[in-house]
Amino acid sequence: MLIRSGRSDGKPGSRSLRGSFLLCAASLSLFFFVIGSTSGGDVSQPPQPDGARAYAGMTISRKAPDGNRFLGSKACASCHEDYYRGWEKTFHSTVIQDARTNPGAILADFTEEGLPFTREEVEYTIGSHWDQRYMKRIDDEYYVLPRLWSVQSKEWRPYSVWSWKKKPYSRYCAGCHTTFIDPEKRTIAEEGIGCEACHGPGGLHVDGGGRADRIVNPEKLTRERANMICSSCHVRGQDTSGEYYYPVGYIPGADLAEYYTPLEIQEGETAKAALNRLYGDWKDKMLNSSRAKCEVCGIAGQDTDTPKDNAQSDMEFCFGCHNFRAKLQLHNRHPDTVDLVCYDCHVKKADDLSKGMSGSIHSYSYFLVHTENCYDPEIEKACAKCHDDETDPVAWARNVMLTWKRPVVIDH
Amino acid sequence: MLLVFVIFMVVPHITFCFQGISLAQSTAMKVKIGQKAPDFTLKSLDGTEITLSDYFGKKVVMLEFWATWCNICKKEIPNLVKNYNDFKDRGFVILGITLQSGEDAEIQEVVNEHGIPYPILIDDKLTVATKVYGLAGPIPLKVIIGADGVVKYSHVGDYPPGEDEVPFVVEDLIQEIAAGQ
Repeated sequence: MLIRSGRSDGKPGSRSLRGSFLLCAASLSLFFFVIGSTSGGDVSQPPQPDGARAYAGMTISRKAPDGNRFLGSKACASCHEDYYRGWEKTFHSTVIQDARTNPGAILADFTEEGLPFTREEVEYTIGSHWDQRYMKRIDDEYYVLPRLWSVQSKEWRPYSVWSWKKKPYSRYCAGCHTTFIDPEKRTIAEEGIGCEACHGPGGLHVDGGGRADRIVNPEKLTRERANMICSSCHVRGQDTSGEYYYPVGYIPGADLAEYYTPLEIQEGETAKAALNRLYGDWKDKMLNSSRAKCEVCGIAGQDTDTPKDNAQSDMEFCFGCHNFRAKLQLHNRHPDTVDLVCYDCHVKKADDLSKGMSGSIHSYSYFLVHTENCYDPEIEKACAKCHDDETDPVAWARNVMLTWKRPVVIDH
Repeated sequence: MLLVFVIFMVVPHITFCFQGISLAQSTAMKVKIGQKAPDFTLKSLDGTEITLSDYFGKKVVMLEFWATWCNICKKEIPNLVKNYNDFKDRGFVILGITLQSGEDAEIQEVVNEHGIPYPILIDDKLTVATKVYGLAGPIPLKVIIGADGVVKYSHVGDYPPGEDEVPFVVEDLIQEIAAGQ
Protein backbone atom coordinates (compact mmCIF):
# COMPACT_ATOMS: atom_id res chain seq x y z
CA MET A 1 0.00 0.00 0.00
CA LEU A 2 2.79 2.37 0.78
CA ILE A 3 4.80 1.88 -2.40
CA ARG A 4 3.53 4.56 -4.69
CA SER A 5 3.96 5.22 -8.34
CA GLY A 6 2.27 8.60 -8.49
CA ARG A 7 5.33 10.77 -8.08
CA SER A 8 5.45 14.25 -9.46
CA ASP A 9 7.03 14.52 -12.85
CA GLY A 10 8.05 18.07 -12.14
CA LYS A 11 6.54 19.48 -15.29
CA PRO A 12 4.74 22.76 -14.75
CA GLY A 13 1.91 21.75 -17.04
CA SER A 14 0.87 18.90 -14.80
CA ARG A 15 0.73 20.91 -11.64
CA SER A 16 -2.84 22.02 -11.89
CA LEU A 17 -3.96 18.45 -12.41
CA ARG A 18 -2.09 17.29 -9.35
CA GLY A 19 -3.52 20.16 -7.33
CA SER A 20 -6.94 19.22 -8.48
CA PHE A 21 -6.55 15.62 -7.44
CA LEU A 22 -5.44 16.76 -4.02
CA LEU A 23 -8.78 18.27 -3.31
CA CYS A 24 -10.79 15.85 -5.37
CA ALA A 25 -9.69 13.23 -2.94
CA ALA A 26 -11.59 14.91 -0.17
CA SER A 27 -14.79 13.81 -1.88
CA LEU A 28 -15.27 17.23 -3.36
CA SER A 29 -14.96 16.39 -6.98
CA LEU A 30 -15.90 19.85 -8.13
CA PHE A 31 -12.65 21.12 -6.68
CA PHE A 32 -10.95 19.39 -9.56
CA PHE A 33 -12.17 22.03 -11.90
CA VAL A 34 -11.95 24.86 -9.42
CA ILE A 35 -8.33 24.58 -8.51
CA GLY A 36 -7.31 23.27 -11.85
CA SER A 37 -8.52 26.33 -13.59
CA THR A 38 -7.65 29.01 -11.11
CA SER A 39 -4.46 28.25 -9.34
CA GLY A 40 -2.40 25.84 -11.23
CA GLY A 41 -0.93 28.09 -13.88
CA ASP A 42 2.64 28.45 -14.99
CA VAL A 43 4.50 30.18 -12.19
CA SER A 44 6.54 32.19 -14.67
CA GLN A 45 3.42 33.98 -15.85
CA PRO A 46 3.72 37.68 -15.04
CA PRO A 47 1.47 39.11 -12.38
CA GLN A 48 -1.44 41.29 -13.35
CA PRO A 49 -0.38 44.85 -14.21
CA ASP A 50 -1.59 47.97 -12.47
CA GLY A 51 -5.09 48.92 -13.53
CA ALA A 52 -6.05 45.38 -14.50
CA ARG A 53 -9.53 44.38 -13.45
CA ALA A 54 -9.35 42.14 -10.39
CA TYR A 55 -12.80 41.25 -9.09
CA ALA A 56 -15.93 42.67 -7.53
CA GLY A 57 -15.36 46.06 -9.11
CA MET A 58 -11.78 46.40 -7.90
CA THR A 59 -8.62 46.92 -9.92
CA ILE A 60 -4.99 46.04 -9.34
CA SER A 61 -2.61 48.58 -7.83
CA ARG A 62 0.90 47.55 -6.83
CA LYS A 63 1.68 50.66 -4.81
CA ALA A 64 2.44 50.10 -1.15
CA PRO A 65 1.95 52.90 1.38
CA ASP A 66 5.63 53.15 2.36
CA GLY A 67 7.02 53.61 -1.15
CA ASN A 68 7.53 49.92 -1.57
CA ARG A 69 5.52 47.96 -4.15
CA PHE A 70 3.67 44.69 -4.29
CA LEU A 71 4.65 42.06 -6.82
CA GLY A 72 1.95 39.40 -6.62
CA SER A 73 2.40 35.81 -5.54
CA LYS A 74 3.43 34.55 -8.95
CA ALA A 75 6.50 36.74 -8.81
CA CYS A 76 7.51 35.08 -5.54
CA ALA A 77 7.41 31.69 -7.21
CA SER A 78 10.45 32.37 -9.34
CA CYS A 79 12.66 31.98 -6.27
CA HIS A 80 10.36 30.28 -3.75
CA GLU A 81 8.59 27.69 -5.87
CA ASP A 82 8.13 25.14 -3.08
CA TYR A 83 6.34 27.67 -0.95
CA TYR A 84 4.33 28.91 -3.89
CA ARG A 85 3.17 25.44 -4.79
CA GLY A 86 2.09 24.86 -1.23
CA TRP A 87 0.34 28.19 -1.01
CA GLU A 88 -1.61 27.80 -4.23
CA LYS A 89 -3.19 24.66 -2.80
CA THR A 90 -4.39 26.43 0.29
CA PHE A 91 -7.79 27.97 0.68
CA HIS A 92 -6.07 31.31 1.15
CA SER A 93 -5.29 31.35 -2.55
CA THR A 94 -8.77 30.37 -3.67
CA VAL A 95 -10.88 32.27 -1.18
CA ILE A 96 -12.55 34.19 -4.01
CA GLN A 97 -13.45 32.60 -7.33
CA ASP A 98 -15.19 34.01 -10.36
CA ALA A 99 -18.25 31.85 -10.92
CA ARG A 100 -18.89 33.35 -14.34
CA THR A 101 -15.58 32.24 -15.80
CA ASN A 102 -15.32 29.19 -13.56
CA PRO A 103 -18.81 27.77 -12.94
CA GLY A 104 -17.31 24.68 -11.35
CA ALA A 105 -16.34 26.83 -8.38
CA ILE A 106 -19.95 26.65 -7.18
CA LEU A 107 -20.24 23.71 -4.82
CA ALA A 108 -23.85 24.14 -3.69
CA ASP A 109 -26.90 22.16 -4.70
CA PHE A 110 -29.22 24.60 -6.41
CA THR A 111 -31.96 22.03 -6.97
CA GLU A 112 -33.35 22.70 -3.51
CA GLU A 113 -36.66 24.52 -3.65
CA GLY A 114 -37.28 27.92 -2.12
CA LEU A 115 -33.80 29.36 -2.43
CA PRO A 116 -33.84 33.15 -2.57
CA PHE A 117 -31.41 33.31 -5.50
CA THR A 118 -30.48 31.23 -8.49
CA ARG A 119 -27.20 29.71 -9.57
CA GLU A 120 -27.17 32.05 -12.54
CA GLU A 121 -27.19 35.09 -10.25
CA VAL A 122 -23.95 34.04 -8.55
CA GLU A 123 -20.99 36.09 -9.77
CA TYR A 124 -18.38 35.09 -7.22
CA THR A 125 -17.93 32.37 -4.66
CA ILE A 126 -16.31 33.01 -1.29
CA GLY A 127 -14.66 30.07 0.45
CA SER A 128 -14.68 26.46 -0.58
CA HIS A 129 -13.89 24.25 2.38
CA TRP A 130 -16.11 25.02 5.37
CA ASP A 131 -18.82 27.28 4.08
CA GLN A 132 -19.28 28.72 0.65
CA ARG A 133 -20.99 32.06 0.27
CA TYR A 134 -22.19 33.64 -2.93
CA MET A 135 -21.98 37.17 -4.19
CA LYS A 136 -23.73 39.27 -6.78
CA ARG A 137 -23.69 42.86 -7.91
CA ILE A 138 -26.55 45.21 -7.16
CA ASP A 139 -26.10 48.70 -8.64
CA ASP A 140 -22.49 49.64 -7.96
CA GLU A 141 -21.82 47.25 -5.10
CA TYR A 142 -21.43 43.58 -4.45
CA TYR A 143 -23.35 41.78 -1.72
CA VAL A 144 -23.10 38.37 -0.12
CA LEU A 145 -26.36 36.52 -0.73
CA PRO A 146 -28.54 35.36 2.20
CA ARG A 147 -27.88 31.64 2.15
CA LEU A 148 -24.56 29.87 2.54
CA TRP A 149 -23.71 26.37 1.51
CA SER A 150 -22.13 24.27 4.22
CA VAL A 151 -19.54 22.32 2.29
CA GLN A 152 -18.96 19.92 5.14
CA SER A 153 -22.58 19.00 5.82
CA LYS A 154 -23.82 19.65 2.29
CA GLU A 155 -26.78 21.78 3.24
CA TRP A 156 -27.98 25.35 2.90
CA ARG A 157 -27.96 27.60 5.93
CA PRO A 158 -29.38 31.07 6.44
CA TYR A 159 -26.84 33.87 6.36
CA SER A 160 -27.63 37.50 7.19
CA VAL A 161 -31.15 36.92 5.94
CA TRP A 162 -32.37 40.34 7.03
CA SER A 163 -29.32 42.53 6.64
CA TRP A 164 -27.44 41.20 3.62
CA LYS A 165 -28.39 44.16 1.43
CA LYS A 166 -27.12 46.53 4.09
CA LYS A 167 -23.65 45.02 4.15
CA PRO A 168 -21.71 45.94 1.03
CA TYR A 169 -18.92 43.51 0.40
CA SER A 170 -16.29 46.21 -0.04
CA ARG A 171 -16.99 47.54 3.43
CA TYR A 172 -17.57 44.38 5.42
CA CYS A 173 -15.59 41.60 3.81
CA ALA A 174 -13.17 42.41 1.01
CA GLY A 175 -10.15 43.25 3.15
CA CYS A 176 -9.69 39.67 4.27
CA HIS A 177 -10.20 38.12 0.86
CA THR A 178 -7.51 40.17 -0.84
CA THR A 179 -3.93 41.30 -0.50
CA PHE A 180 -3.73 44.95 0.56
CA ILE A 181 -6.93 46.74 -0.29
CA ASP A 182 -7.51 50.46 -0.60
CA PRO A 183 -11.30 50.59 -0.26
CA GLU A 184 -11.52 54.29 -1.12
CA LYS A 185 -9.74 53.82 -4.45
CA ARG A 186 -11.22 50.33 -4.81
CA THR A 187 -7.85 48.84 -5.57
CA ILE A 188 -6.13 45.69 -4.36
CA ALA A 189 -2.59 44.40 -4.77
CA GLU A 190 -3.75 40.88 -5.57
CA GLU A 191 -6.86 38.74 -5.58
CA GLY A 192 -6.97 36.24 -2.77
CA ILE A 193 -4.73 36.08 0.27
CA GLY A 194 -1.36 36.10 -1.43
CA CYS A 195 2.19 35.78 -0.15
CA GLU A 196 2.42 39.50 0.51
CA ALA A 197 -0.71 39.47 2.67
CA CYS A 198 1.52 37.99 5.37
CA HIS A 199 5.00 39.06 4.25
CA GLY A 200 4.21 42.60 3.14
CA PRO A 201 5.24 44.12 -0.18
CA GLY A 202 8.15 42.33 -1.86
CA GLY A 203 9.44 45.04 -4.19
CA LEU A 204 12.44 46.12 -2.12
CA HIS A 205 13.27 42.50 -1.39
CA VAL A 206 13.58 41.77 -5.09
CA ASP A 207 15.38 45.04 -5.84
CA GLY A 208 17.92 44.05 -3.23
CA GLY A 209 18.62 40.75 -4.93
CA GLY A 210 16.46 38.82 -2.51
CA ARG A 211 17.84 40.41 0.64
CA ALA A 212 16.09 38.80 3.57
CA ASP A 213 16.07 42.00 5.59
CA ARG A 214 13.94 43.79 3.02
CA ILE A 215 10.79 41.78 3.46
CA VAL A 216 8.81 40.76 6.50
CA ASN A 217 9.59 37.31 7.82
CA PRO A 218 7.06 36.61 10.57
CA GLU A 219 9.55 34.30 12.26
CA LYS A 220 11.89 37.24 12.79
CA LEU A 221 9.22 39.45 14.29
CA THR A 222 8.32 39.49 17.94
CA ARG A 223 5.67 36.92 18.77
CA GLU A 224 3.15 39.70 19.24
CA ARG A 225 3.84 41.32 15.88
CA ALA A 226 3.82 37.96 14.12
CA ASN A 227 0.49 37.06 15.70
CA MET A 228 -0.90 40.39 14.58
CA ILE A 229 -0.55 39.30 10.97
CA CYS A 230 -3.01 36.47 11.55
CA SER A 231 -5.13 38.60 13.86
CA SER A 232 -5.67 41.15 11.11
CA CYS A 233 -8.25 38.74 9.71
CA HIS A 234 -8.76 36.00 12.29
CA VAL A 235 -9.89 38.52 14.90
CA ARG A 236 -12.91 40.52 13.86
CA GLY A 237 -12.72 44.24 14.21
CA GLN A 238 -13.06 47.67 12.64
CA ASP A 239 -10.53 50.08 11.19
CA THR A 240 -9.80 53.38 12.87
CA SER A 241 -12.50 55.19 10.91
CA GLY A 242 -15.10 52.67 12.03
CA GLU A 243 -16.20 52.43 8.41
CA TYR A 244 -14.52 49.19 7.43
CA TYR A 245 -14.46 45.78 9.05
CA TYR A 246 -10.81 45.12 8.29
CA PRO A 247 -7.59 47.03 9.08
CA VAL A 248 -7.31 49.52 6.24
CA GLY A 249 -3.68 50.46 5.57
CA TYR A 250 -2.14 47.75 7.74
CA ILE A 251 1.08 46.19 6.47
CA PRO A 252 2.48 43.01 8.08
CA GLY A 253 5.08 43.82 10.68
CA ALA A 254 3.34 47.02 11.82
CA ASP A 255 1.43 47.43 15.06
CA LEU A 256 -2.04 46.21 14.15
CA ALA A 257 -3.54 47.98 17.16
CA GLU A 258 -2.90 51.30 15.41
CA TYR A 259 -5.13 50.24 12.56
CA TYR A 260 -7.71 47.93 14.07
CA THR A 261 -10.00 47.65 17.07
CA PRO A 262 -11.51 44.25 17.85
CA LEU A 263 -15.30 44.13 17.99
CA GLU A 264 -15.08 42.15 21.20
CA ILE A 265 -12.85 44.62 23.04
CA GLN A 266 -13.76 44.80 26.70
CA GLU A 267 -14.30 47.90 28.78
CA GLY A 268 -10.96 49.31 29.87
CA GLU A 269 -9.02 47.01 27.57
CA THR A 270 -6.55 48.37 25.03
CA ALA A 271 -6.84 47.35 21.40
CA LYS A 272 -3.50 45.58 21.65
CA ALA A 273 -4.54 43.60 24.71
CA ALA A 274 -7.81 42.68 23.07
CA LEU A 275 -6.02 41.53 19.93
CA ASN A 276 -3.68 39.37 21.98
CA ARG A 277 -6.54 37.90 23.99
CA LEU A 278 -8.82 37.19 21.05
CA TYR A 279 -6.05 35.78 18.90
CA GLY A 280 -5.13 33.51 21.80
CA ASP A 281 -8.75 32.35 21.98
CA TRP A 282 -8.80 31.64 18.27
CA LYS A 283 -5.52 29.78 18.39
CA ASP A 284 -6.66 27.70 21.36
CA LYS A 285 -9.75 26.75 19.44
CA MET A 286 -7.58 25.63 16.55
CA LEU A 287 -5.22 23.72 18.80
CA ASN A 288 -8.13 21.89 20.32
CA SER A 289 -9.13 20.63 16.91
CA SER A 290 -5.57 19.90 15.84
CA ARG A 291 -6.07 16.16 15.71
CA ALA A 292 -8.24 16.66 12.70
CA LYS A 293 -5.80 19.10 11.17
CA CYS A 294 -5.12 17.30 7.92
CA GLU A 295 -8.74 17.45 6.93
CA VAL A 296 -8.46 21.19 6.46
CA CYS A 297 -6.10 20.52 3.61
CA GLY A 298 -8.40 18.05 1.92
CA ILE A 299 -5.49 15.69 1.57
CA ALA A 300 -5.96 12.45 -0.31
CA GLY A 301 -5.79 9.27 1.69
CA GLN A 302 -7.70 10.62 4.66
CA ASP A 303 -10.58 8.63 3.30
CA THR A 304 -9.42 5.06 2.89
CA ASP A 305 -11.51 4.70 -0.24
CA THR A 306 -9.56 7.43 -1.94
CA PRO A 307 -6.66 6.48 -4.19
CA LYS A 308 -3.27 7.64 -3.01
CA ASP A 309 -1.81 8.00 -6.45
CA ASN A 310 -1.22 11.68 -5.86
CA ALA A 311 0.57 11.35 -2.59
CA GLN A 312 3.61 13.28 -3.71
CA SER A 313 1.44 16.19 -4.65
CA ASP A 314 -0.02 16.08 -1.16
CA MET A 315 3.43 16.27 0.30
CA GLU A 316 4.11 19.36 -1.75
CA PHE A 317 1.17 20.88 0.03
CA CYS A 318 2.82 20.15 3.38
CA PHE A 319 6.21 21.36 2.20
CA GLY A 320 4.63 24.64 1.21
CA CYS A 321 4.64 25.71 4.84
CA HIS A 322 6.75 23.02 6.51
CA ASN A 323 10.02 23.02 4.66
CA PHE A 324 11.27 19.66 5.90
CA ARG A 325 11.65 17.77 2.65
CA ALA A 326 15.28 16.97 3.47
CA LYS A 327 14.44 15.80 6.98
CA LEU A 328 11.47 13.62 6.17
CA GLN A 329 13.30 10.31 6.09
CA LEU A 330 15.07 11.18 9.32
CA HIS A 331 11.72 11.91 10.87
CA ASN A 332 9.82 8.81 9.80
CA ARG A 333 12.80 6.37 10.02
CA HIS A 334 11.66 4.44 6.98
CA PRO A 335 13.70 3.94 3.82
CA ASP A 336 12.64 6.25 1.02
CA THR A 337 11.46 3.27 -1.01
CA VAL A 338 8.52 3.05 1.38
CA ASP A 339 7.47 6.53 0.36
CA LEU A 340 5.54 7.46 3.48
CA VAL A 341 3.42 10.57 3.54
CA CYS A 342 2.29 12.51 6.58
CA TYR A 343 -1.14 11.01 6.90
CA ASP A 344 0.08 7.44 6.81
CA CYS A 345 1.04 7.96 10.45
CA HIS A 346 -0.82 11.10 11.52
CA VAL A 347 -4.32 9.76 11.15
CA LYS A 348 -7.20 12.15 11.51
CA LYS A 349 -9.47 11.71 14.48
CA ALA A 350 -12.66 13.60 13.87
CA ASP A 351 -15.08 12.41 11.22
CA ASP A 352 -16.53 15.79 10.56
CA LEU A 353 -15.02 19.02 11.78
CA SER A 354 -18.33 20.78 11.43
CA LYS A 355 -19.96 18.61 14.05
CA GLY A 356 -20.70 20.49 17.19
CA MET A 357 -19.75 23.81 15.69
CA SER A 358 -22.28 26.56 15.34
CA GLY A 359 -22.27 29.94 13.79
CA SER A 360 -20.02 31.08 11.07
CA ILE A 361 -16.90 29.06 10.46
CA HIS A 362 -14.02 30.90 8.89
CA SER A 363 -10.96 29.37 10.41
CA TYR A 364 -8.56 26.71 9.25
CA SER A 365 -6.41 24.67 11.56
CA TYR A 366 -2.83 24.28 10.44
CA PHE A 367 -1.40 23.77 13.88
CA LEU A 368 0.45 20.57 14.43
CA VAL A 369 0.49 19.69 18.08
CA HIS A 370 0.22 16.26 19.57
CA THR A 371 -0.22 15.06 23.07
CA GLU A 372 2.66 13.69 25.11
CA ASN A 373 5.40 16.02 23.99
CA CYS A 374 4.85 15.68 20.31
CA TYR A 375 4.29 11.94 20.40
CA ASP A 376 0.90 10.77 19.25
CA PRO A 377 -0.06 7.29 20.56
CA GLU A 378 -2.52 6.99 17.70
CA ILE A 379 0.47 6.49 15.43
CA GLU A 380 1.00 3.04 16.91
CA LYS A 381 -2.30 1.96 15.43
CA ALA A 382 -1.33 3.36 12.05
CA CYS A 383 1.85 1.25 12.03
CA ALA A 384 -0.28 -1.87 12.09
CA LYS A 385 -1.62 -1.04 8.65
CA CYS A 386 1.61 -2.28 7.13
CA HIS A 387 3.31 -4.18 9.97
CA ASP A 388 0.43 -6.58 10.36
CA ASP A 389 2.73 -9.59 10.28
CA GLU A 390 3.67 -8.90 13.90
CA THR A 391 1.81 -10.89 16.56
CA ASP A 392 0.66 -7.74 18.28
CA PRO A 393 1.39 -4.94 15.82
CA VAL A 394 0.40 -2.12 18.16
CA ALA A 395 2.55 -3.38 21.01
CA TRP A 396 5.35 -4.00 18.55
CA ALA A 397 5.08 -0.46 17.26
CA ARG A 398 5.18 0.93 20.76
CA ASN A 399 8.32 -1.01 21.56
CA VAL A 400 10.03 0.07 18.37
CA MET A 401 9.27 3.67 19.05
CA LEU A 402 10.50 3.36 22.61
CA THR A 403 13.85 2.33 21.18
CA TRP A 404 13.83 5.54 19.20
CA LYS A 405 13.75 7.41 22.54
CA ARG A 406 11.80 10.31 21.08
CA PRO A 407 10.23 11.32 17.82
CA VAL A 408 12.34 13.38 15.49
CA VAL A 409 10.71 16.75 15.63
CA ILE A 410 10.97 18.41 12.29
CA ASP A 411 9.72 21.93 12.43
CA HIS A 412 7.52 22.55 15.38
CA MET B 1 -35.92 19.74 35.52
CA LEU B 2 -34.45 16.68 33.86
CA LEU B 3 -37.06 16.88 31.11
CA VAL B 4 -36.23 20.52 30.56
CA PHE B 5 -32.58 19.70 30.37
CA VAL B 6 -33.23 17.00 27.80
CA ILE B 7 -35.46 19.21 25.68
CA PHE B 8 -33.35 22.32 25.68
CA MET B 9 -29.81 21.08 26.15
CA VAL B 10 -29.54 17.57 24.78
CA VAL B 11 -31.94 17.98 21.88
CA PRO B 12 -30.33 21.20 20.70
CA HIS B 13 -26.90 19.66 20.95
CA ILE B 14 -27.99 16.71 18.88
CA THR B 15 -29.64 19.07 16.47
CA PHE B 16 -26.55 21.20 16.02
CA CYS B 17 -24.23 18.26 15.82
CA PHE B 18 -26.02 15.87 13.57
CA GLN B 19 -28.72 17.68 11.72
CA GLY B 20 -27.29 21.09 11.16
CA ILE B 21 -28.13 24.63 11.96
CA SER B 22 -30.60 25.13 9.14
CA LEU B 23 -32.86 22.43 10.49
CA ALA B 24 -32.52 23.91 13.96
CA GLN B 25 -33.53 27.31 12.57
CA SER B 26 -36.56 25.98 10.75
CA THR B 27 -37.88 23.78 13.54
CA ALA B 28 -37.01 25.95 16.52
CA MET B 29 -40.63 26.89 17.15
CA LYS B 30 -44.05 26.34 15.67
CA VAL B 31 -44.84 30.02 15.30
CA LYS B 32 -43.53 31.17 11.94
CA ILE B 33 -42.43 34.47 10.50
CA GLY B 34 -45.41 36.40 9.19
CA GLN B 35 -47.81 35.02 11.79
CA LYS B 36 -49.41 37.08 14.51
CA ALA B 37 -47.38 36.66 17.68
CA PRO B 38 -49.37 34.64 20.22
CA ASP B 39 -50.20 36.72 23.27
CA PHE B 40 -49.21 35.78 26.79
CA THR B 41 -48.90 37.14 30.28
CA LEU B 42 -45.99 36.25 32.55
CA LYS B 43 -44.70 37.49 35.86
CA SER B 44 -41.39 39.29 35.81
CA LEU B 45 -38.63 38.72 38.29
CA ASP B 46 -39.82 41.70 40.33
CA GLY B 47 -43.38 40.34 40.46
CA THR B 48 -44.93 42.61 37.82
CA GLU B 49 -47.26 40.95 35.33
CA ILE B 50 -46.32 41.70 31.75
CA THR B 51 -48.59 41.08 28.78
CA LEU B 52 -47.09 40.99 25.31
CA SER B 53 -50.01 42.61 23.54
CA ASP B 54 -49.66 45.71 25.71
CA TYR B 55 -46.69 46.61 23.53
CA PHE B 56 -48.48 46.15 20.23
CA GLY B 57 -48.95 49.41 18.35
CA LYS B 58 -46.21 51.03 20.45
CA LYS B 59 -43.00 49.08 20.43
CA VAL B 60 -40.89 46.57 18.63
CA VAL B 61 -40.50 43.59 20.93
CA MET B 62 -37.76 40.98 21.00
CA LEU B 63 -38.49 37.80 22.92
CA GLU B 64 -35.25 36.27 24.10
CA PHE B 65 -35.82 32.68 25.22
CA TRP B 66 -32.98 31.79 27.56
CA ALA B 67 -32.05 30.01 30.80
CA THR B 68 -29.38 30.34 33.45
CA TRP B 69 -27.94 26.94 32.54
CA CYS B 70 -27.42 28.01 28.94
CA ASN B 71 -23.86 29.27 28.64
CA ILE B 72 -24.30 30.64 25.13
CA CYS B 73 -27.32 32.59 26.37
CA LYS B 74 -25.31 34.13 29.19
CA LYS B 75 -22.34 34.87 26.98
CA GLU B 76 -24.40 37.02 24.64
CA ILE B 77 -26.16 39.01 27.37
CA PRO B 78 -23.74 41.98 27.10
CA ASN B 79 -24.62 42.29 23.43
CA LEU B 80 -28.33 42.13 24.21
CA VAL B 81 -27.92 44.83 26.84
CA LYS B 82 -26.10 46.99 24.29
CA ASN B 83 -28.85 46.51 21.71
CA TYR B 84 -31.49 47.31 24.30
CA ASN B 85 -29.73 50.47 25.41
CA ASP B 86 -29.14 51.56 21.82
CA PHE B 87 -32.81 51.35 20.85
CA LYS B 88 -34.92 51.49 24.02
CA ASP B 89 -35.65 55.20 23.73
CA ARG B 90 -36.88 54.76 20.17
CA GLY B 91 -39.52 52.14 20.83
CA PHE B 92 -37.76 48.84 21.44
CA VAL B 93 -38.02 46.42 24.32
CA ILE B 94 -36.52 43.03 25.04
CA LEU B 95 -38.46 40.52 27.10
CA GLY B 96 -36.15 37.86 28.49
CA ILE B 97 -38.28 34.74 28.81
CA THR B 98 -36.52 32.53 31.30
CA LEU B 99 -37.04 28.83 30.91
CA GLN B 100 -36.95 26.71 34.04
CA SER B 101 -33.78 27.86 35.76
CA GLY B 102 -34.08 27.00 39.42
CA GLU B 103 -34.76 29.54 42.14
CA ASP B 104 -35.47 33.17 41.34
CA ALA B 105 -32.34 34.05 43.30
CA GLU B 106 -30.26 32.19 40.77
CA ILE B 107 -31.82 34.18 37.94
CA GLN B 108 -31.41 37.41 39.91
CA GLU B 109 -27.72 36.64 40.26
CA VAL B 110 -27.29 36.57 36.49
CA VAL B 111 -29.36 39.75 36.16
CA ASN B 112 -27.16 41.50 38.71
CA GLU B 113 -23.94 40.22 37.23
CA HIS B 114 -24.74 41.62 33.80
CA GLY B 115 -26.87 44.57 34.88
CA ILE B 116 -29.74 43.41 32.69
CA PRO B 117 -32.03 46.42 32.28
CA TYR B 118 -34.89 44.78 30.38
CA PRO B 119 -37.71 42.76 31.96
CA ILE B 120 -36.90 39.18 32.83
CA LEU B 121 -40.02 37.02 32.76
CA ILE B 122 -40.35 33.67 34.49
CA ASP B 123 -41.65 30.78 32.43
CA ASP B 124 -40.80 28.03 34.87
CA LYS B 125 -43.64 25.82 33.70
CA LEU B 126 -42.62 26.37 30.08
CA THR B 127 -46.14 27.52 29.29
CA VAL B 128 -45.12 30.24 26.87
CA ALA B 129 -42.06 28.45 25.53
CA THR B 130 -43.58 25.14 24.63
CA LYS B 131 -47.37 25.52 24.63
CA VAL B 132 -47.73 29.04 23.23
CA TYR B 133 -44.69 29.37 20.96
CA GLY B 134 -44.00 25.69 20.47
CA LEU B 135 -40.27 25.73 21.09
CA ALA B 136 -38.81 22.40 20.14
CA GLY B 137 -35.22 23.31 19.46
CA PRO B 138 -32.23 25.10 20.88
CA ILE B 139 -31.95 28.27 22.87
CA PRO B 140 -31.10 31.09 22.80
CA LEU B 141 -33.93 31.84 20.46
CA LYS B 142 -34.76 35.39 19.42
CA VAL B 143 -38.17 36.31 18.10
CA ILE B 144 -38.62 39.90 16.93
CA ILE B 145 -42.17 41.17 16.71
CA GLY B 146 -43.11 44.35 14.88
CA ALA B 147 -45.35 47.01 16.34
CA ASP B 148 -48.15 45.44 14.34
CA GLY B 149 -47.83 42.31 16.48
CA VAL B 150 -46.52 40.17 13.65
CA VAL B 151 -43.43 37.98 13.97
CA LYS B 152 -40.83 39.49 11.63
CA TYR B 153 -37.63 37.64 12.41
CA SER B 154 -36.27 34.76 14.43
CA HIS B 155 -32.79 33.44 15.05
CA VAL B 156 -31.45 30.43 16.88
CA GLY B 157 -28.12 30.70 18.66
CA ASP B 158 -25.79 33.61 19.10
CA TYR B 159 -24.04 35.55 16.37
CA PRO B 160 -20.36 35.53 15.46
CA PRO B 161 -18.76 38.91 16.18
CA GLY B 162 -19.89 41.46 13.63
CA GLU B 163 -22.79 39.41 12.33
CA ASP B 164 -25.52 40.43 14.77
CA GLU B 165 -28.61 41.13 12.70
CA VAL B 166 -30.75 42.45 15.56
CA PRO B 167 -29.75 46.13 15.14
CA PHE B 168 -30.62 45.99 11.45
CA VAL B 169 -33.99 44.37 12.10
CA VAL B 170 -34.91 46.69 14.95
CA GLU B 171 -33.84 49.81 13.04
CA ASP B 172 -36.05 48.85 10.11
CA LEU B 173 -39.04 48.03 12.28
CA ILE B 174 -38.70 51.20 14.34
CA GLN B 175 -38.63 53.21 11.16
CA GLU B 176 -41.86 51.51 10.16
CA ILE B 177 -43.43 52.80 13.39
CA ALA B 178 -42.14 56.29 12.64
CA ALA B 179 -43.54 56.06 9.13
CA GLY B 180 -46.90 55.08 10.57
CA GLN B 181 -46.95 51.70 8.89
